[in-house]
Amino acid sequence: MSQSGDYGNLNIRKSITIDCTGTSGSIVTAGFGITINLDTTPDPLRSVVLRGLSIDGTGSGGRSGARGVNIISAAVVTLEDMEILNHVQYGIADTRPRQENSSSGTR
Amino acid sequence: MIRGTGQVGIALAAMTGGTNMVSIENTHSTDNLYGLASGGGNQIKITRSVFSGNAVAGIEADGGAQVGVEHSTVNFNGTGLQANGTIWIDDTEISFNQSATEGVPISFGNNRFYSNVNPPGALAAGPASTDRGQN
Repeated sequence: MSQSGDYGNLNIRKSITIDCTGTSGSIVTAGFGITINLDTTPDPLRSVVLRGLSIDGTGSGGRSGARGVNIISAAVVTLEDMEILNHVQYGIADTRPRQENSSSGTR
Repeated sequence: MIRGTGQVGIALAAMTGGTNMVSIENTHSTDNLYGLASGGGNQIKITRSVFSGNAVAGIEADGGAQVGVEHSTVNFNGTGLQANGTIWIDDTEISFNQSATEGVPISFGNNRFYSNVNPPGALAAGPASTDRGQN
């Protein structure tokens, strides 16, 4: 994050590292907090690292966000020091249907 | 930390081809319906993690899913380990659940079960290992 603060939904379509260690990176949202879908990227790594983020599905009036992190397509997804809370469906949903040399980690 | 979801803290969909490999380390999944639920075709390694206060189950594996749990705590859930697929447990504490297990988890013989309302049924034995749990 170039600037700390609260953000809305995020759609990731290419390899990236988002590191909010030591600062405030927060997503308060309805719907899917972060969607990872690297299905069409030519990037051979197709790798996403999220570190130190807070994703809160609580909207006004209570829990409304559907999913914290929704993984549709990627080779490697790494989640570190994440706080994911108050979603209607799933905190982390790995929905990849077939092998993509896939690996996910959370810590 | 994953907390307070209406369904599943960590949800892994069933695979239609190949194997999904997942490593979970030092993670808390609490106060969900399921702490972790895996469809078939996933291979999951869990270490140094806590699955607590999940209304239905702490860790659930569908048929065809393989889940290894070590150095972890599974407590205060409806069912601690729900093994419709394969769950291995190593140096893990399963306590204060309504039911310790459903299905037949595979134990390496170095786990602690206590204060579950319904204690575990028979556990399958893991692969042979030394007293230190090493092959």
